[in-house]
Amino acid sequence: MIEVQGVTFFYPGTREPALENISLTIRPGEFLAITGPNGSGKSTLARLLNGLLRPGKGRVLVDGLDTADAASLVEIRRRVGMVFQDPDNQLVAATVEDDVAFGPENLGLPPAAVRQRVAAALEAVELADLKTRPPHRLSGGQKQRLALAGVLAMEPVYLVLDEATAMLDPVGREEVLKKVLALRREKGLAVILITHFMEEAALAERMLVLNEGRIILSGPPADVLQQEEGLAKAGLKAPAIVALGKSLRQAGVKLPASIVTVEEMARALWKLASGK
Amino acid sequence: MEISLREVSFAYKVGDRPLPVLESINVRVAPGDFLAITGSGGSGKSTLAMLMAGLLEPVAGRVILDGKPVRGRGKGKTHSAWHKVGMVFQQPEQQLFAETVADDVAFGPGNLGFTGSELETRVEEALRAVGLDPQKIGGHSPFRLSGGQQRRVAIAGVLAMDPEVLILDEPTAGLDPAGREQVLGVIRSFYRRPGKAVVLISHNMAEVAAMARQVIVLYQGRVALQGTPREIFRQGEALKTYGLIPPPLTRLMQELQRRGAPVSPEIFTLAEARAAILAWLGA
Repeated sequence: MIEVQGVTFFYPGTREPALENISLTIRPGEFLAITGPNGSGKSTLARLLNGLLRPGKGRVLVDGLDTADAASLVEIRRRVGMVFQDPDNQLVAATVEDDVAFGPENLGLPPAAVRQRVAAALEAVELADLKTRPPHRLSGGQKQRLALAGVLAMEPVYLVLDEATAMLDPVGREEVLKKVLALRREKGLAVILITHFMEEAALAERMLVLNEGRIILSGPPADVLQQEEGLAKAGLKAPAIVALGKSLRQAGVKLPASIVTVEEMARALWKLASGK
Repeated sequence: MEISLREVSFAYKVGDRPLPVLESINVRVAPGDFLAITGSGGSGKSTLAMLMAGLLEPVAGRVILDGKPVRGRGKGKTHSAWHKVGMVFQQPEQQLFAETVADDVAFGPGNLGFTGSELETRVEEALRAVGLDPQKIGGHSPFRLSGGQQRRVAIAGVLAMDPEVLILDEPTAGLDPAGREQVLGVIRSFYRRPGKAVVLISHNMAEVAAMARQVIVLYQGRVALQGTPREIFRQGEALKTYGLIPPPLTRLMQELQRRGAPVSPEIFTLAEARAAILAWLGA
């Protein structure tokens, strides 16, 4: 469990807090989406989860380990893996496999264990065929999957994706997200998805909307995405499917408000049409 | 201003071997056009944008401005018409450098030789065109602005050169929804002015559907599809081959059609989708 307890955070030299009195619990295996406008504190929150930043006030506990305790940081960062928007900043080695090996080697694992973790991680992100390729010869989507493999090789418990799909094409985005959600199902990995794409946030179990450093909405996407006013305050808009659902309900079509995806909408409409 | 690429190919040199990026591309953009160039990561979109902006020269084929074959920007001796073509790069806010917003925007037109009150007017008009108040924000450091505002300042720097063709490479990538809307608004109002043309590089399909009149889909350095947004998105699932997925409402209509509902698969807007579904359910 990650527990964020009453956290306030100021960047040096600023008078406005980037985050103010945030409390939040993230369960193992959970799929949580965090959205909000640029500057709302999303990335700051992400960086607090694995101790890249330390709270000014309050505490962050990762499975009971306090991120303020320097001696726990190595273990905390192994448990909480992060993938950022720009994979180029995260890739370090001359070949794909060396890049993935970097983290496990730093854990001091024996070579055989490192090799096995690298193989498993590359398999998981479907890059095994490209293991001898230099990272800069990969496409954007492949680089992002490589960054993901580097994190997976650490066998994390929580995976934080900070706008990790923002620069990818639609299929690349779907690819990375599908892979991550499959890993969640297989390994019980918790996924914390930080995104501007409401369609992606809608897939989560729970979503948070941050605005000006505070959590202004929180709950299942189907509920949060109905809160037009709150979303508008944060400069966000419900996904097209949610907006269509609302518009159809207003026209008298009996659709549940819980519909957030294309597939759910197609199924519900088809059921209505064939039920007549 | 008309930009025309004929049988253009481009390759980067890696060591001493050419790495082909674009092959036999034909594109034409004339006043009043709004062309979207889309395709998967690595399909050659950004390279094509740079060729259309004269920032790269083709290894084969010709680039023609208003009927005259030309070399790239700053190449060759003749005065070129490239200054009428403005290019907004990916994440252009990373190139902001001046101490104030106004100085940053003034950099381009200053290089074109504008000075004094004429330069000032251009800067103010460009800032207004991107929805920023020159009086309020002109003296600020660009680095104190939000990401969306920074991006609009960078776009203002290109608009201040008064281009006839505006080429933008992923202008909304990484912005939040409100920032995206603002940037799209800026592009729309530029396009509404007479004699202007826009080339938008984007893999945001909802954006392409809402903005473009013509779409080119690149795949492995070649033009794979070309047509109006409706013609392109009609392809449905087949677009996945090219790294693309139609916008959600279009996908919904295609899914309903696949199940046998008599609805059009060429729908983009909420109003269209609503009307089609109500007509189908009511029938």
